[in-house]
Amino acid sequence: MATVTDSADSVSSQFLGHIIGKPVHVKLHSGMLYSGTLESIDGFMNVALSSTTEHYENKENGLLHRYQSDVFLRGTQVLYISEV
Amino acid sequence: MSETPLNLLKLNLDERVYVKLRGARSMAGTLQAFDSHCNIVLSDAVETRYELVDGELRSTERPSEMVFVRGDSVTLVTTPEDE
Amino acid sequence: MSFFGKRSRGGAKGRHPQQQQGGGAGAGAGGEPLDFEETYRGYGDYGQEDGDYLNDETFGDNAELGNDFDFGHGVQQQEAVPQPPQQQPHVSYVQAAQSGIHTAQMDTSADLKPMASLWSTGPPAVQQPHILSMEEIERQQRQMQQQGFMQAPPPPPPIHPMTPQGYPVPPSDAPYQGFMQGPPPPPPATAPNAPTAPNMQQFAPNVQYGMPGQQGAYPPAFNQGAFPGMYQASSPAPVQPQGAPDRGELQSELQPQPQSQSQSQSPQPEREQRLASGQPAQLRTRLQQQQQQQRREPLSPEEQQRLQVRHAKVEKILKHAGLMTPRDKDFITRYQLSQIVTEDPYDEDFYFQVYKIIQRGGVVGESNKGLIARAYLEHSGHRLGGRYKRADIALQRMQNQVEKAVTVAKERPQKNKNKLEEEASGAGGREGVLGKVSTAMNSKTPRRQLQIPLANLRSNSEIEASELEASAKVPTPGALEEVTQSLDNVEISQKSRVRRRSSYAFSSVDHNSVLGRSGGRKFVLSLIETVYEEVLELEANLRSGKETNNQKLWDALHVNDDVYEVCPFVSMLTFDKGVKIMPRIFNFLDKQQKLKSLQMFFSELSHLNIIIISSYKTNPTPSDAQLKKIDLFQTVFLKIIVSFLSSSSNFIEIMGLLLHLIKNNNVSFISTSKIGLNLITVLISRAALIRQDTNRSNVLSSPEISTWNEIYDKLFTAMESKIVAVFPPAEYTDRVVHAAGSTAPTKYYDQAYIWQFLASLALSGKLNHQRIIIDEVRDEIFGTINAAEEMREQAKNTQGAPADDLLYRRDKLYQDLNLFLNVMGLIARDGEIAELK
Repeated sequence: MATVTDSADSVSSQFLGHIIGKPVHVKLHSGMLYSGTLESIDGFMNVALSSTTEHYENKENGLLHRYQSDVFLRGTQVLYISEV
Repeated sequence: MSETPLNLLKLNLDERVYVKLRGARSMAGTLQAFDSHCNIVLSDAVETRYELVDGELRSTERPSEMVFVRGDSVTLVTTPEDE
Repeated sequence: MSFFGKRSRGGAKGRHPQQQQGGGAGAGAGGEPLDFEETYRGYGDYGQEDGDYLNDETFGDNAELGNDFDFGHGVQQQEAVPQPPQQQPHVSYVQAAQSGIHTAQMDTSADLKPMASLWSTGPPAVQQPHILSMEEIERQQRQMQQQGFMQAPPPPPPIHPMTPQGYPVPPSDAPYQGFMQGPPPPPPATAPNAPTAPNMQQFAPNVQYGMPGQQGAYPPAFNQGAFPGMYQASSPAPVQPQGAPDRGELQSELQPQPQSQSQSQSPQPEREQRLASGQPAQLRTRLQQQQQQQRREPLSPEEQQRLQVRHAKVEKILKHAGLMTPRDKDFITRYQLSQIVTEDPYDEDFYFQVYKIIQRGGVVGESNKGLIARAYLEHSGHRLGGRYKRADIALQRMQNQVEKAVTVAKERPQKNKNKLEEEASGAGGREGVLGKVSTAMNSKTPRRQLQIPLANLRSNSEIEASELEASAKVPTPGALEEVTQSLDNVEISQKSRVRRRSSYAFSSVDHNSVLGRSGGRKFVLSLIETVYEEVLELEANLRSGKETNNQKLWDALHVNDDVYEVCPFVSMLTFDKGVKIMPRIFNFLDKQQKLKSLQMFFSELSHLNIIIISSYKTNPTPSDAQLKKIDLFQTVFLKIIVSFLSSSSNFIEIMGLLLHLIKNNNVSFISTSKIGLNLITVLISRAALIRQDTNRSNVLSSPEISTWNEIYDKLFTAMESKIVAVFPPAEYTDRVVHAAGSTAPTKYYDQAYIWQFLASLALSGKLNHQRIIIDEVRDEIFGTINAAEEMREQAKNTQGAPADDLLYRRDKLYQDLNLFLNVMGLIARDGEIAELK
């Protein structure tokens, strides 16, 4: 059990550690897509983004909103995080 | 000091925040408290509910002096633009 | 179904032991013979009671009874009733049950035959006495229902009268009646039987005396008659069968039925006889005869008690029977096995694991593998016949299994021990037989999905900042020298810092950009958090009487931090919480630190968010929230400055602060904001006060006075020709007055602070300064006088409270105006300006 999570941790944390400070897309369960710079992320998948733009489903669907300040996205709502 | 998202959220304590909720709702108010579940207490809050009436987006507002928002419904927290 | 519930509560229980034990044991051991002698402590012997005369008296001694019972399939009553078994006392129950299987099968097949003869028009069935089971009766009822009432069977031969005396009439059974009012049973198929109710009624209550087994044998007519309520609910008027021969008579009898039933608790033989003779239902007759046979004698109280005691006992045993599946039992066995084979008997104990984690300790025992195997077999051998049957193959198999189990069990604790050693101090989990024991407190927090090692997220600039800060500690030169030194440089104010610019007020309007120039909003907010923590710690130290070292707090304030274009300390005041914490911060700062902080504050006033939002130029329509913010700043931070100036500052320091303000800021802009104007007022009025005060105590040195004059000149120059700008336009004052969030009860804009400023400015200035001031604000002076006089006129035309209010406001206007005019020996009253005498 421990070994499984250990390896999973190392892979995911490698990725997530790597993309901190990079532009990312964060998709929520609701279908909202947030595009911005990954300021920080924690083990609960809580995400903080800066210079965030809001779209529905994908970026081609047009800008819904531009957030001037940091955006906190709740971990339980996060569907995925991808590097742009 | 580790800058976890929740730590960043902590910076907004006693500041105005804009909370996006599930079900086309949002809540703006002064962040009084929150926890790791994203349960949030706001003071001088205004709840906004968005509705699509005949293809037209309408919003209704409801102010409350102090409100507790249960974490499950929170999707996004940020600072309001107009302040 | 409460019907069965009722039944099992009473006498039916009497037969359960055999059934349950036989069936349950078979299921539990997979059909293997079991010996329940030990397990059930001989309770099963109930099945062997041969002195149970009840059986005989109830069912007749000719009844052939098996010992396998299947209630669910409606085994005929004869077979279902306990009977002195043929087995010997020491025959196992399983064997008994197995031997009974054949009879059970036979019975079931017999039971499945519908009693067609009963309902056919042919001759009445001769197979009596036949006791119907509950299920049979129900089936019959259903059949009849399907056939319909109209096709009622032909009239049966008359029956002989019953002997009601033979049946005790106990008080009515409340729960039973309750039940009868419950879900209605099938419609009264044997409706013509209804008139027999009066006598049948006496039987019904017998049910409660532990013989519900027989209750099932009652024909529906019984229930119908005995409990009219039930049928009244379902079919108030009994259906008259067309085939009934003496219809008229029946009808006449049916009418009074409910009443007669309720009234007649005593038997009415004649009537019953008469009714019975008219009965069409053959079934009823037959059943009545059966009843008679069964119930020849009543139960004595002792017998009833005995029965009840017996049922209670059996019920106790059976309460948990059949709860465990073979898998469950297997699990328990495995668990027990692991307890035996483990090196440390406690090691595999779940609860001990928990205890051990709390206590942090362990015991190691030694044990022999072979002995364990034997011990296990001794314990659990009976499962395979064990010590009794000497099943050698099974023994061998068992030994192998034990061997395997021991090996596994021996490996496990070692793994655990290693792990425990590794995380000796950590709050790790322990793995036992029943799973991992977790000591982590995760009930309060959400489940963490990932472990993300947080890299050093501090930005480079942040690190630089702290490094530079450490090296930026420069010794402060003499106060006056500093003041005079910087005085020379007022025009070239970009001397020291990168961020110094003579006029950048309007570039600071966007407070986000200001924050950006002091490390960013996040940085400033995190500074506030840090400062807050430091303050809390210092306060805690203060309470506990410990030494309070404010160095960390001072560092956290970043007052000397000139890395950023805008001092982070000033940016902290952008946030309400930054303002709110200031009094507590100042509690722990020494005088030099306070002075330094205020110097920084006055230097960067133009960046101060509060100045920008309180200036009518940059923020002509302040929001409610902003007005609140202004109020907060005014009451919190301005108070700090005033108390600092009045208690602990000398003249040179005040001049220094004013100089910082003048040389680094656009004074005319700052004076357009209420907060800015107040700040200037505080400084110059305090300076004026000290100058007057020193006339008595220590006289100001001539360098001091000349320095002051120079500073004042600079201030005045900065404001000259723009003095009138201190008056906000009417639109702005209206907005402020009508702000919904305005807490002030006044409905007018209080200009007192402006006149106070002008008064202090005039007070510190020379005559030519005063002349210029009056010149510039002449319009405002007369405007105020006119407004005051207007109010007086209005007050004449109004009455009551509004008039009082107007007069009060008029007086207030004069009062405020005279603050300024009095400085120059003038006074305004009644629309005129006069010389102050």
